[in-house]
Amino acid sequence: MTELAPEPDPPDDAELWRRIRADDADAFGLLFARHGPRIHGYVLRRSGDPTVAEDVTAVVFLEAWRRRGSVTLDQPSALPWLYGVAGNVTRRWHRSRRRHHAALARLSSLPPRHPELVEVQAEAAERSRTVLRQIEGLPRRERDVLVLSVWEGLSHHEIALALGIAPGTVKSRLSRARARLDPDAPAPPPLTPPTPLAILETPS
Amino acid sequence: MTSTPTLDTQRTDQLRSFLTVEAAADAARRPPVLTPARRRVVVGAAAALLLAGGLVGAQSVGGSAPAAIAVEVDGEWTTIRLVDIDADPDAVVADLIAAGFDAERQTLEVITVDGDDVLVGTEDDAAVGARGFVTIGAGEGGERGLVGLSVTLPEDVAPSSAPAEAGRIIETDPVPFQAGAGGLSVVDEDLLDAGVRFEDDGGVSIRTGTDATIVVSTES
Repeated sequence: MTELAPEPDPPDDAELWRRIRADDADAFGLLFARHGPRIHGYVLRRSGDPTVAEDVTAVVFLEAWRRRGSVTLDQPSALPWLYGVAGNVTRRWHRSRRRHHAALARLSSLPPRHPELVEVQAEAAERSRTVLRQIEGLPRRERDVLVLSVWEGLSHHEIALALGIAPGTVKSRLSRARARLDPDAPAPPPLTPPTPLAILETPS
Repeated sequence: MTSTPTLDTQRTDQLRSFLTVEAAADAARRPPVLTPARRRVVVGAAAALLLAGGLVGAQSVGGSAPAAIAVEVDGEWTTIRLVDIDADPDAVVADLIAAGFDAERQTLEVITVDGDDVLVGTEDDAAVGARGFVTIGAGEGGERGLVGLSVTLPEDVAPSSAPAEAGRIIETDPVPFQAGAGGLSVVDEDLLDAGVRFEDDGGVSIRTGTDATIVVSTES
């Protein structure tokens, strides 16, 4: 009986990024498969607009590809950095869209989304808009921290990586954000249960 | 993935294929990406060359310096430094103008790259001078401001080593968040010949008679 060789461990993001920096488009595709849905969910919740969420998500990854020469990933997960890129792209969607105008035109030629998927995304966006209305009065920096903490389930350390700030700053912004919110109002519900990033990084 | 997926497997695969094709096509039509060392040089030259127009000669100044900036004259060089870490960028511009400089304010996007903040200018920002930035400000709870000094030069005196990438996105190297420190001290003899010197402490020095505009950049 022949013994099967064990499946090799999937490359971590740091390895994928090394390959991406060497212009490996397939590695880039793997990075998207690993983190794309998570980033899409974040963009959908931040924008509350299912019609643009896929475009924004595509631009986030196109931006990641564009910056591959100047970014060195020295941690096992690219996800915190991708969250940071996604936040900036979402905020500056008008400008980002111009930069990737041609690619977005090609993206529009993809087959339409499945009707059930459209429905799921629309429901998620509607729930997002409800929560966004609760926190829209917060300063942007506090809102960013709150969203990454409550909605995305990131730890203080991961939020610090995503936003490029100190973990202590994450804690103070989160504290201020919560203090500003009406204490009598119900807490913004997480749209998805927070999931440790470590699990997401090693899909089976 | 999340327990309430907003992309299903089929859509994820479609988008993955799209992005893989886009990346492969991009890699095929572009030269290898710039190394950080190469990028540093390109940034300096690109910044200088992209920034032509609307320029008035900087003047040496005397008397007491305005509150937000310090101005030091040493022979033919005048050095400007930010001294008030809480200064409003508009106030810095006003102080520079009051001191006899041509100055303007500009906002730059700040992105986070690998845990560091990076100032980014785009071709949309016609007057980006992505050099000589300093970061300042450390207030309550670690909140920080971000403002920096840069310089624009007219095209005819800017360094002649035109980068092939002129017009593309300009990114600076990551800038450390340390009050009053961390200016990009790129040695650039061409820029020095043009009459501009970026000091290690974030100051910007202008040689007397140089046509230059001081740009006060801040996070958008």
